[in-house]
Amino acid sequence: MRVSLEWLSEYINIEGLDLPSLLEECGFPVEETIKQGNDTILDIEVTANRPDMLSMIGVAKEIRAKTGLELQLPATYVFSDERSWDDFTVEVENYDDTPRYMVCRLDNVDVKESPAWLKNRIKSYGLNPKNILVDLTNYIAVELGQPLHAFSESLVQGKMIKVRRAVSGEKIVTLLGEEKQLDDSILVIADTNKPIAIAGIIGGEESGVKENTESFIIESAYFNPVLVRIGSKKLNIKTDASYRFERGGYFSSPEFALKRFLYLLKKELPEVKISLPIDVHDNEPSEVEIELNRDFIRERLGYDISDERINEILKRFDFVVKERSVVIPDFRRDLKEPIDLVEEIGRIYGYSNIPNRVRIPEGVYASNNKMYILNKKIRSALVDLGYYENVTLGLVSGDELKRIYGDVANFVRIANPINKNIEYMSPTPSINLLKVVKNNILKSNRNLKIFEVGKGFIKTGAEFGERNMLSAQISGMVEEKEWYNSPRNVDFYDIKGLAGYIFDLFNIESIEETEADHPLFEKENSIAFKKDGVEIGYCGKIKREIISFYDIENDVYGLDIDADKLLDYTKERGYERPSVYPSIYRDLALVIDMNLRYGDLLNVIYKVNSLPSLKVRLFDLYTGKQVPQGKKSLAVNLEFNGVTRTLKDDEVEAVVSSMLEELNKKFGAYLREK
Amino acid sequence: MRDLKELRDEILNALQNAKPEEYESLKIKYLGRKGVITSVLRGLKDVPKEERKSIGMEANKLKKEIEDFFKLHSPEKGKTSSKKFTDYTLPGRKKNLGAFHPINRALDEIIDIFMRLGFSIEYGPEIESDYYNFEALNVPKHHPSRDMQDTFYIDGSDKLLRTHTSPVQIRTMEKSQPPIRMIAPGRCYRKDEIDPSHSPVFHQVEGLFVDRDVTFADLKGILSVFAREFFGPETKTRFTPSFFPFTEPSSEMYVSCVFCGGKGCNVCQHTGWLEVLGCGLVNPKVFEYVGYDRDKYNGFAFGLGVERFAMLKYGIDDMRLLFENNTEFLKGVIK
Repeated sequence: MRVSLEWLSEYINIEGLDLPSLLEECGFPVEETIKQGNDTILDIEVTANRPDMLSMIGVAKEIRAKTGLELQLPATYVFSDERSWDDFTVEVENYDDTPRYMVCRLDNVDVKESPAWLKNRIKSYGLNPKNILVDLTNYIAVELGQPLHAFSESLVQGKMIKVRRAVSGEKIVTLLGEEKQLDDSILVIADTNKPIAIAGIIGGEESGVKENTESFIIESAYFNPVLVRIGSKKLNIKTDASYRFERGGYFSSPEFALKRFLYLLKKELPEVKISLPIDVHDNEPSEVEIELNRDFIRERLGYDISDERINEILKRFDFVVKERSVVIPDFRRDLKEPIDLVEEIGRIYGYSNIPNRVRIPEGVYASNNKMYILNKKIRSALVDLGYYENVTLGLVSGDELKRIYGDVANFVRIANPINKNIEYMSPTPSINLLKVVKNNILKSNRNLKIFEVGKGFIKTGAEFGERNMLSAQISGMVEEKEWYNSPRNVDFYDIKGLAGYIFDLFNIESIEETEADHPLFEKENSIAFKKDGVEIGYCGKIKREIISFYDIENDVYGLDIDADKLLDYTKERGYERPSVYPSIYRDLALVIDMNLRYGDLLNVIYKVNSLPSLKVRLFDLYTGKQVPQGKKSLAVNLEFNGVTRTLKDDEVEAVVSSMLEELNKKFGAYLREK
Repeated sequence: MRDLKELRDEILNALQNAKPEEYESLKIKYLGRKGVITSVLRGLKDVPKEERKSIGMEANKLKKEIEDFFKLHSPEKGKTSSKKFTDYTLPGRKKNLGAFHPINRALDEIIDIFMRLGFSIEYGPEIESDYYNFEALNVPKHHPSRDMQDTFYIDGSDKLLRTHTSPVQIRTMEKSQPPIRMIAPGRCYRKDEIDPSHSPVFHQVEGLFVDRDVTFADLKGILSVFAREFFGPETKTRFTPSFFPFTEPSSEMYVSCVFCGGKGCNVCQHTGWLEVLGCGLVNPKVFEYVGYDRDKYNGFAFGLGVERFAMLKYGIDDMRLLFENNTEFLKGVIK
């Protein structure tokens, strides 16, 4: 709301006031201060609950409440011997839609240019002056917050106005020359034939005030704000009038505004003939009376403000203060409940004057949130490992999803996206991490370790799934080249190692590793992790066709872990007394076919073992001249322990030889010659 | 055959006086294939049998002594050695640290402060119902914020993407009874184009404090402590009236400008103050929605934008940087 100080001082003496601070204390911060000639204009921010502050008089009243200064109300027209307007009828279809509708007939109007004072004030609000009639309606809208509508009397056919819902199929060409289709959600001002204006929003094509017209109808009304809002949205028309109407009107406003308009009109154009108004309205709403409990006000504010001070503040708002209640004038229809009075007292008394209190109430303690702990633990661990934490938008395009998953049926689509690139909720942070990889490579950051703990969204039928996920990606070299190292490129075992690290972090043991068939990863270079048969994550090499789609040339390895599942399977670490008996160690270098898996050997080793404790560590993997072609050598270190007794060499020998026998039988494995 | 005692004195003396660079040649001289000790030991076969044993023991003892000397003064172990020069200015074999994202750095700190003040953490879904996102928060049916212009709706459903984390207030109150102190951090969505100060996806921390006798003074007290903890002990706060459907009275909290300390600069538009969060006493209508006795309980609530806090704290002037995830940016400059 643009407030001209020259204009404002017509109602209240603002000399010497620091208005920006004062208005901000009331809750209306000044966004901009504009110098216009000798005038200063404050552009103030008005919250949605205070449409009364969209008027000069509302601002003046607020200043009065804050300062206690005198208020000069604007003068209004007093009807005396005007003729009534007998041959014209106004019909209101529904008082819920139109609680009040007033019109006056104006004859002998000389539609001339406005006087300088009026033009200046119209300009101060940011409008262009047009002619006296249009300018005066705009003036009233700014002064009192009530939009008026003036239109030529000859426009109305059949000597009647009906305020009604439009009929589906009806059309109107607006003042701006656009044709709009109407329906029964839209309120119109109509004559016997057709709509001539969209109520509270805009006039029809012909309704513009023309200079050669002499007889006009001036309309002052109170329309249902919701209808104006719906209409304005549906027709995509926003006007100063619709802005005001959709924030609310009130019963006494049309009459006061009309009288004010007529007062100014008569002052400027004494020769105008005014009819008595036609005033069609619902029953006048009953007064709003709010219980006044001064202790309640003091309790809520946390400050001991006196009864007298409370009464004084309320009176400055034009409220009728009684012993146990206050009567609220209808221009403050935001006030309905005792708590609303707390705000009024607080605002005017000043929030700064309320003390600060810090207390810990009894019976409240901060309980632990497991997901938060998990989130923080993962993030700290990965940052320690040299990973960079990412935050991406979590939205992706349908095109990306189609390329990766084949179709988009199982993904959550936004019905009204900003653009196609961010139309879907991503099923994993991984997709956006690929874009981060690409953008970093473009900036010459090639050795990348990145991760995000974020959400993944999927759709199953009508249900939406929302999971917490950890995604990580690596690319380039394991570490930067330094004077002491010769780094290699990252590979599958790096990302698998990261997964293992995460499982260790949450003490999740006995993870099954199986072949994966995940849309992101190359089948032959990926793995699925399961716990008790439930998939908890995947890792592997991102498919070539996917990284090419993001214009990435380097290999990228990725990880997707369901963080909710980590939480399901994590368990506290327990402690055991370490064995006091010595371990017996055996190293075996096993030669097997190249395409056999270590895991399968390991399973046999554990299966054959009959001793109380066995730990196996793979300490070498060799392929080359020392073993026959097509073979590899796996060197494992076996640590046997008796736990409650000392093991004998020969029992270990016996177990190891049955292991070798079984490995040979199953895999043709034999010991490598020294 | 020289007298071994004499030989011993001579050798040990020579070793004591030798410079480290001479060790290698002395080692060859005494212990080498043609070295002195070697020849003594070799010469033992010519020694009479009765003396052979004792001279042999003596010679071996001396050999051991010389070996020990070289062991002690070897380049690897000897402190007098200059063979291996330690250049302490070479970079150590350091593991490189990664980095937290600034949004989460700020969020961690915010959470940490409120946890110290006894607030628990609650999470809620990002795909929300109209009821939790608007209705139960007393946002009227036709409020502008429900507009398709401002809120993302889910295709083929009446659900939406939450526009704030305030729905978690409602969910928390539905499942527990006062007293309540909780914060709800998380992602929110609004239909804003990406620009230096907007993003369609952003992070918010909602806070709620419900008990008997909660006053505006409690709100000011707790939030002022929070501001000082986050922005520094010199931080001043100011509360001005505002409007939110779910609080009454409503307020905006300002902090003294973190860049100029309140003197006035471009960031604070020369006001000395920065608007940082919205807050207020919980509107009793919200308590009605969750079935709390509105005459018995009251509380305060607040909501803050994590991106704004991160940007102010770390001096980041463009929100787009936060979502680019350029590693060089994420490292953070040393200030």
